[in-house]
Amino acid sequence: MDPSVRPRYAPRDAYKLEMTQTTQHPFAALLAHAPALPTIRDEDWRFSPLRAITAQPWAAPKVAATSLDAPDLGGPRLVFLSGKLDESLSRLKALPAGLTLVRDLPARRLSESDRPFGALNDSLARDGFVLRVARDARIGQPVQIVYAGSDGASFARVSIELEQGAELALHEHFCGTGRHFLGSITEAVIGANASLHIARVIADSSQAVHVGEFCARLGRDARLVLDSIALQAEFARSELRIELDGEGASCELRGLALARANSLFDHQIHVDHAKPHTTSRQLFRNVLDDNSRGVFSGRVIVRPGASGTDATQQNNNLLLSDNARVDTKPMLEIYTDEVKCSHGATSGQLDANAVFFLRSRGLDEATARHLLTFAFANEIIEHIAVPGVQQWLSTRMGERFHGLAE
Amino acid sequence: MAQNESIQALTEQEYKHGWVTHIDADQVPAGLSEDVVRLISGKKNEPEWLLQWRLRAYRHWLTMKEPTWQKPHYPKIDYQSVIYYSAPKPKKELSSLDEVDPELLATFEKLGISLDEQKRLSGVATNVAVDVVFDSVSVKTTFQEELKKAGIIFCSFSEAVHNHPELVKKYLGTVVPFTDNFFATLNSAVFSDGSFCYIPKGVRCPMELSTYFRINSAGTGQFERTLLIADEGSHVSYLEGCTAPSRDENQLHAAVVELVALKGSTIKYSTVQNWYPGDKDGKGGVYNFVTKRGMAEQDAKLSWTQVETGSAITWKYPSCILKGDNSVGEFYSVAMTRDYQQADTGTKMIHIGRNTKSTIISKGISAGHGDQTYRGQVKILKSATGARNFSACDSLLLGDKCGAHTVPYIESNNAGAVIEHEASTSKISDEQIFFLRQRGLSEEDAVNLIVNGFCKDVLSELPMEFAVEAQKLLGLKLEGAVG
Amino acid sequence: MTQPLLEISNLHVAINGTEILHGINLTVNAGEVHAIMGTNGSGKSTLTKVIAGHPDYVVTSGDIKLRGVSILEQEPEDRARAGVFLAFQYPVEVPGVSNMYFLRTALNAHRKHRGQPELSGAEFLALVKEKARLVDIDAGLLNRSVNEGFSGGEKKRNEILQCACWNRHWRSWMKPTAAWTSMP
Ligand SMILES: Nc1ncnc2c1ncn2[C@@H]1O[C@H](COP(=O)(O)OP(=O)(O)O)[C@@H](O)[C@H]1O
Ligand SMILES: [Mg+2]
Repeated sequence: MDPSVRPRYAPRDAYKLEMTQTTQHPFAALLAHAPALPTIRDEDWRFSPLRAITAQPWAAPKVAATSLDAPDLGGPRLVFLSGKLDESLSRLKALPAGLTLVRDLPARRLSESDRPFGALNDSLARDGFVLRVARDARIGQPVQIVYAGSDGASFARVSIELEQGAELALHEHFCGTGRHFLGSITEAVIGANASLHIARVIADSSQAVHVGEFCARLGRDARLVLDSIALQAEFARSELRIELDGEGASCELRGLALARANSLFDHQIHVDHAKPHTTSRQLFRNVLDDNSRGVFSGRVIVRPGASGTDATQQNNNLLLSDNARVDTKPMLEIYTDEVKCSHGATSGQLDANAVFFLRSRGLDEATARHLLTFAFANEIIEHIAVPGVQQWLSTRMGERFHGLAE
Repeated sequence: MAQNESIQALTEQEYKHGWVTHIDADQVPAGLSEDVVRLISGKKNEPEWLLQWRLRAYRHWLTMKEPTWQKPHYPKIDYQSVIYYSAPKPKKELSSLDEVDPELLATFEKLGISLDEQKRLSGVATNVAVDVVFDSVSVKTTFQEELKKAGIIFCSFSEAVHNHPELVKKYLGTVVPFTDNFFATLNSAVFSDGSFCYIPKGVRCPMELSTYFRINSAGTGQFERTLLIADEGSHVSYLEGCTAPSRDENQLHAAVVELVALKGSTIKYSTVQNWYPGDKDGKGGVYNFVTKRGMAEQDAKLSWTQVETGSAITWKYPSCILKGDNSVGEFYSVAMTRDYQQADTGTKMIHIGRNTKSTIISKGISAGHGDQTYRGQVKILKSATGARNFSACDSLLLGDKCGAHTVPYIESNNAGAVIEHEASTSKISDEQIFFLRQRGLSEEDAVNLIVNGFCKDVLSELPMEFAVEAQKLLGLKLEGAVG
Repeated sequence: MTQPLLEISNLHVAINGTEILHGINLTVNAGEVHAIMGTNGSGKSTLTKVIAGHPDYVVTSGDIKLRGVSILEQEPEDRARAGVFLAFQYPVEVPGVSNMYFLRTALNAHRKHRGQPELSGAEFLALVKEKARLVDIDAGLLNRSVNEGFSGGEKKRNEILQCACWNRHWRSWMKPTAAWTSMP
């Protein structure tokens, strides 16, 4: 076959075939067949080399009890251990009125069919859930989904449906020990006037590898507030794809990556203004130390006819070490004229004047730097609207920055 | 709404340079092969080393694929149907202006470019030395004698190959190697003429240097090559202008510009590009696929200013390699697309030296079905401690069928670098228009005023004479255009 | 009796399909000064914008006559040239366009309309200097972009300066404030 006409990502059947022919973990077998995976020649993966994934001889996960390094928000809870629901750690009973949880492996509806890790997820996810919030139900307690891994490669899938006027706060937490891979897909369909607050936190082992996709479709006047926080992993890529598909729909997306050692944190944002009078706000920050790398790619599309669109996009990067590196690509793609769109990106060190000011007030240099770094990061954390998550993160960040948290 | 009609009227202004000069041309047959490369080189009496350089480029080109990552779409180009060399047939050897074909003189008079030095001298305008390239060859370079006194070499590329081979050999391909990209490689194989300029050490060029490009013949591509070398501590301001007749077919223009800014020198390079944009339905027009790049040594400064109003497709990224410590790169751009024009333009600033600085100011105006992308790269290498970049990219939309896109790449490998990028996209403001009309301005004048204000930061970078011309050009392009 | 300068009769105005003015009648004779008062949202701003020809408002019935001639079909610039001057409550900024250049372009548009020749650079400069002194505006503001970065008070002075420059016959003010006391 002419290589140029070969499909970029092998179809699902191809994966099945590979799986039957191998005694290895199927993921490892798939990785061996490079066409399935993107390379840095793919525009979307230009700054995120997949060495961290492809260099591994991934084993099948052993489902072992893992201590969960996660806050307990006290409400309904789903715990996936290496891609399998663990009923003993989960809280699925006595759910608030209006919330239903169904154990199921829902078909992908929003994630594009040709996404490479989506296709892998189709083949390899073994467990999943559908969360549904009934019309006009406001779920008072936050719902928590914990993904914990210990070794090997695992996949999970969650689907969220908010009916008209429903409200939900959700915390997705990624943690674990040792070297493991997790491919997760979360999809949310947010009905008219419904509102979803979601905090996604990656606080995993320093050898963990993540590729996570979050896709949402918003109806008329619906609202999404999303915070994506990466504290620890070796490689963590979060793809956030938001479709503003109803007039008056709005989203607020914030992200923070605190990277150190050799880790790479990647945020890929895709906001599609498909209908008139939609609003999007993006604010993403990277704090990069040691040999770490930060990647931000934010794409805002304003479709023909989506007049009255109001979109802003900000990406700020703080480089704490000479060996840190940032690659950022904020993009605006605009096809109609009644719009207000802007974006900005900055990269630099801590403001020398601010450091000097604090020192002149008696702080030593290290403390001054920690304080300013904490403040830079905290401008994201302080907005997190899922109760309990902000407190937990604040403590974690405080530990990272030498006991500076209150 | 009246406003829309007005925008429409503005955007439908006709192209003013669409006529053809009827003149005998010496052309090579259409198509590309080693023989054609040899034929071009032979026609120009080139030395063997240059022929070999062209042939290596040609052979490399055969292994390359036409790029597809850009936003503009265009039908496949048949490289075998392009005429790679076309020159007006000289009546005889030229020794003075009197002997230039009067048809040609008339052509350039009509374009507002006088080849008559006396005329220029007696005019009120400041002197501008002009090299004029008609299809594939340079027909006349003015003020050569005067420049010579300052030790400045300003001549056609072909002349330089014969008279200053050591300079051409030393610098050709050092900034844009013949392997660089599909179109630059094609240019390296078949380039026909262009301008050459060398400013000696410590010399401040006493006048603006300029090249005027005109595509005339049908079916020809234009592949000129410009090489500009500013020796240590020298200073030069250079400008180029371009027009072409209206033709239903698309014409390919794949030029290469190389700037070499040696230690402590300054090169200011300005372009007013007004190639034929095609008709209002998007038929015809020039494909302007150009590679422009400069290399700045220590303390040198490179400044690109461009006003891009023509061409069916503009695809170019005048770039700066800031190699030396403290070197400076600037990019000021106004791009305007209307009807079915597409532009994918921007710059690359590659910071290598310490304390290197770059500034990017880009203004895009889209009207009609025009589509525009700012694509830029700011790359800070690990060595570039103390590097600074500031970028501002604004787009103005006139009408709801046009597009404006902003794709900046920012890559920093150095914690000590400070990078700032900002961009905005908006429609021309109804309130501004109403305000200006309330003060008695017609709607067209109001739009014109707003657009010129929007572009001011870029237009003010142009040499005085060109700024006025560019402002007029934008006005013409806008005639009838605000929403 | 002489013809009224401005005559508004039974004026109904709507925006986005909602009627805002429900039959206004007003006659202003030459030399008279009128103040229109009303509670917030009663339609004062709307009335002035309609007189000036703001495109957002639709006159559903009634008429506005300037010196006996209906101006409803006229473009905003034609009304302006005929002498309608609307002082903006929030004067608009025009980035990149110097105040001086703007004043001259607009003044010449008015002069052309009246069949007068354009002013030379020197004549214009003299005129602006005189008027600027009259309205007590900082000369530095003349070279800045129109209203950009001006304080609220400076913007209002700038409005008066424009008005003074093209010698209107008639004017309607929005929101008279202390700034207007410097009117000649
Ligand atoms: N663009 C608009 N769209 C809809 N309603 C408007 C608009 N502008 C003004 N209005 C309404 O018209 C009424 C009159 O407003 P305005 O003329 O500003 O009053 P005033 O100046 O007397 O305070 C108000 O009820 C206001 O809400
Ligand atoms: Mg009011």
